[in-house]
Amino acid sequence: MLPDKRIFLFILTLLTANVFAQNAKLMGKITADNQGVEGVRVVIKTLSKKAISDSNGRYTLTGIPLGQYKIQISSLGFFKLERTIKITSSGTDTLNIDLSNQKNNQIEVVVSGTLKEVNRLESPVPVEVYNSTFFKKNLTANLFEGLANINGVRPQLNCAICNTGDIHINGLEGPYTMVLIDGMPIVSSLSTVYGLSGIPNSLIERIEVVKGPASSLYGSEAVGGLINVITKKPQNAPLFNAEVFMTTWNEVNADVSFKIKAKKIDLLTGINHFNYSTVIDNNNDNFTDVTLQKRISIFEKANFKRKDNKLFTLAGRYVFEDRWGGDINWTKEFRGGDSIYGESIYTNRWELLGSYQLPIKEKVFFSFSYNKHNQDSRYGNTSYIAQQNIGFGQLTWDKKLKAHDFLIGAALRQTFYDDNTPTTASADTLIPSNMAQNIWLPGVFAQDEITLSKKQKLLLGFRYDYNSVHGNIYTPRLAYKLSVNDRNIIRLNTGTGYRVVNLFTEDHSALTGARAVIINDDIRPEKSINVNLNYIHKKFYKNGTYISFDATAFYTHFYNRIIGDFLSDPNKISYNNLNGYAVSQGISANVDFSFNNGLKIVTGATAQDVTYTDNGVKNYQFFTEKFTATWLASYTVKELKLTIDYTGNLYSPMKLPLISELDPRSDKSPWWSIQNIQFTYTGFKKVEVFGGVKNLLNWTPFKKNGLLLPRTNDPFDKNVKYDANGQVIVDANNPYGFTFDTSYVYASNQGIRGFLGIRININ
Amino acid sequence: MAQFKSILVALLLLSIGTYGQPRTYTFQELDSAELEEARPILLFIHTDWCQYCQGMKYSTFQDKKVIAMLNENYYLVNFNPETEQPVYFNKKTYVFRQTGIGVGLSDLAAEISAITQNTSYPSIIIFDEKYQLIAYQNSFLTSKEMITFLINKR
Repeated sequence: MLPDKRIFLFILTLLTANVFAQNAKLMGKITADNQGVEGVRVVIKTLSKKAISDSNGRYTLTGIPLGQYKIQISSLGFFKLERTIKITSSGTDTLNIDLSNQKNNQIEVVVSGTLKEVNRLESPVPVEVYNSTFFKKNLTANLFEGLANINGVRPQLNCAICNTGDIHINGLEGPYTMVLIDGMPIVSSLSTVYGLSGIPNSLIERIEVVKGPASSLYGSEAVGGLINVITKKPQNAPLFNAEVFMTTWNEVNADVSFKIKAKKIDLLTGINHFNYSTVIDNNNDNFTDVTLQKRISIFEKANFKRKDNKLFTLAGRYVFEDRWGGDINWTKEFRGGDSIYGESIYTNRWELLGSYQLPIKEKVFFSFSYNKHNQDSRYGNTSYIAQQNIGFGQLTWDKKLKAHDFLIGAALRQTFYDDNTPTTASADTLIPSNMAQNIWLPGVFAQDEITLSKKQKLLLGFRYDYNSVHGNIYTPRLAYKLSVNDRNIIRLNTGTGYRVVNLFTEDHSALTGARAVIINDDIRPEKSINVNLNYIHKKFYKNGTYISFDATAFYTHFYNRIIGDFLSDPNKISYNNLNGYAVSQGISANVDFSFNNGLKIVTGATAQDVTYTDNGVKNYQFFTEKFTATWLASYTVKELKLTIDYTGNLYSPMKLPLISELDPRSDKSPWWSIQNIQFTYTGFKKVEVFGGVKNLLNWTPFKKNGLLLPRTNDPFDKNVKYDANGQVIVDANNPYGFTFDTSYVYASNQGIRGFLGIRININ
Repeated sequence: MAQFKSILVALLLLSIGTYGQPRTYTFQELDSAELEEARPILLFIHTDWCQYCQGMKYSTFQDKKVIAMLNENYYLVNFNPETEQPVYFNKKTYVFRQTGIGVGLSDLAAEISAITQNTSYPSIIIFDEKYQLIAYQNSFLTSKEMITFLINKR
């Protein structure tokens, strides 16, 4: 630390004056048990001189006038002793101090408390953290699409025309992933579809992603992973933030967020509106290339300030979405009719979740969530109207006892489900009655995180649920962490999963009107066991450059899996229990570079093998790639106040369902890549301007496969002729033996487009 | 004096363990430290999920010159505002305010960010001997930048 100029001059003057006086130098070594002690202060108060011992215990004091002085030797908070020394001649004097031989010292020990820093990333479960800036690098209309930037996490399109999707983590479908807001679970198998929309980026502090089983804590379904959306603290959120962007496809996305801080309550509000209502048919198949959408969602979070400073927080969200795709001449009048084909879905969903800490000494939380999901959809002339209500309550007790960190809890879930399909109809078809499902799922769980040593942690968990339909469910879990140091960490994580599949709400391909859904026998729950092994290595360079590497190997074995059979009959999808097993296994690796010049590169790749073995025959799962890569390069030109972000994804071929033996389409998708570039200018005070190009390569599935949707000219199969066995007759009118089918989808048909936006932030 | 011996051994271990790192102080130590010798306080605000914070810990805070400047002229406090324990600073106790399960922020960080108008990590905040905020920086600082900051903001 250099003093300011005046002090500097003053010292200089003193120094000059001292040249003429007789000065001495005092040197020495501070030792304890024959070893040098670092950081000990040697002070001559009367002269305002001080020195601190170096790593060898050595210190030097210079410019000491002749005389007798009291020298204080101290280490703050540990000890303090005083020596008297007489300096009689100029030159170098030596004062060595051996602390181990001191007897009559005043020892002043300050107990610094047991401030055990709780480092959540120290947990045996690997947590990946992405802050909100990461999602700004490739701006998307919602978090669902934004997650595509994370390696191993993939939003998958399930429907060519209605473009509904879900989040896949390491090859496992959306319902296997639990979505949480500030640690509070949204218990709903649709949460990866809808639980991620409507929270503006400006309200998100970070996203924590756990890949791997979390089922003992969050329910037997959460075997794929967790996505925890951490919102900004009311203190840190912007007073007002607005972000609007538009693309050359006339998509408009607007986000507004603001906060209100009051005496007893802090409120965060976010509003999102997305509108895409221009029919575009660049591939001239007479069908919309991308689903038209109008969406509005409102998010509200309240933190109540309680006197005892205990937690009480409530969050609510409402989503309304109107989407349609199909024949470019479709309008609302044709909804549900059989003249012009369209798929139209109205979704009304609201959810309420919260957490209340009981006003007692022990740390006990009551968490709850309730969501009501209403879907009114028409796929051509097939309708699917469903209502799903899920209520969830959970009591947890967090107790730390020495090396143990216990979490004990009890949960209750109620699922109500009703639709217009045979699923909820009575077996008696003569006098049909509605049989809505009403499932109760009480459960208890216990978890113990044991600190075995400074380097090792072990987590043991067990959950027991009772399903009112399927009976007892046991979910054990084990996690182990070995930190060689805080830059080299190995984690092993294993657990089981159990899930009752609801085809209609979760598998949209079951609904695309073109195929009849056949459920052959009583669908049994899917049971699985999952193992994840994870290694993290970080390297920091003195100049500020930083490299992190992490690799994960994952393996999930399903004892039963419900997989749609697309091949046996082109007009049907049949669902069966698997007579065998299914396996999802692979390796993923991430390497991040942060250079000290501001260049940041994030890369990731996943190689996976997702198969199912039915009646002894091994099959690859449809729509699942063997290899993916993601990357991001970001650089800020400080002088221009300009940030350039280049992002991309690469996907290997996926197996695709064909309709007939004559089908000219490829049974595999090609290698494909989506790449984007974005520029952000931050030179204005409260305003940022951004723009760029999405899908730089202008890649669409249409480019590779000229034919994506067969028989768009006859989507109701009115002119398809069948033989006596129900097989499609091949004729000049139908040379490939096609029926209308929308299941051949693996990527968006949205080509290159520019975008421009503005962001206003008032703190 | 067995007690003294054990303290010395602890001290020794401490000094070996902290080799190449600046001496840090806890919030509780500050008052008595200031009484003994008035110095400005440097608060390094970091979180466990902030990579750049960890980066600074392993580069800037291991730089010999930075260590020397800090050890001789400052009381360095490492502060993770997402830790549940309340902190005592400038004769006031700041609580941890929860905003969800396992998430929250210390009121001290909230009070600081109200002054600095910034909420990003890492934050390097300098208080003078009387606990007045005199300088701050809300970004990764290389050792060179840190030295410049320490010289300019004194």
